[in-house]
Amino acid sequence: MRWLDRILTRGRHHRELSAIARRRLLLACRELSDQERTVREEMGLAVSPRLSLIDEEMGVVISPQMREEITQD
Amino acid sequence: MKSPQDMRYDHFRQLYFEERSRRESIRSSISTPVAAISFAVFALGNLARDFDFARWNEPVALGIIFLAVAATLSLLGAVYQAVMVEWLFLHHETPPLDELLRAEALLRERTGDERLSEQMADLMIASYSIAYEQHLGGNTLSARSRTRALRFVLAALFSLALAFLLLPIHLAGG
Repeated sequence: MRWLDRILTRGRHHRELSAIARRRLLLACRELSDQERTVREEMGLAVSPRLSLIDEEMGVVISPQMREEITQD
Repeated sequence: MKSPQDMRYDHFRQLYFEERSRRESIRSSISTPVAAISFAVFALGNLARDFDFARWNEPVALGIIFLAVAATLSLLGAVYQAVMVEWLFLHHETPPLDELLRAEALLRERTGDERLSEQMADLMIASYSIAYEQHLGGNTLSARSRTRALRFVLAALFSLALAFLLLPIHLAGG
């Protein structure tokens, strides 16, 4: 009944990313991490700004923790 | 210079109100695919009216049928996605006045008057943060459905355009 739940609930409970989506986002996650690191160095920040990514293609909010998981894949 | 608490408060309050207005812009932008769906349905009707069903088994006619079926399926997909833009979307609001007054009384009792303002500000920050994240999640799903609806409409219109290109060839053969 998972498919029915997906149709009736807009997939709100199925936010795990597929392997294809993770591969597609890998470059964007790496670029963002690099940019955060550069800004941290340039501004002399004690911590990096950790941004969230929004993937409208999949309808998911990718937290900084999830971004780390994707780049470590 | 603002305190970190003031910055958090301003940050989440602004994000919350921006996500609320983004909701409205997503809602109004769905009118474009809906108008295109109406146009595509009308074009599909014209195609069906001009098509010579007696010669359905000719290669060009089969091509038109295939494209018309593809357009119909794409339109069904577009309608489904257009419905999903608004499907089960919940608005999240910050606590109402009676809840805030109750929380204020409870905080005064537990922490005393000296830390009350700080605690109330934290409560509002938490409320704005939760409401913002919920709106963000809902808006992300709505934006996904809107994009997919638009793609289905484009696929339907493209299929119909090809079918209409084949139609004169089909009619000339009669």
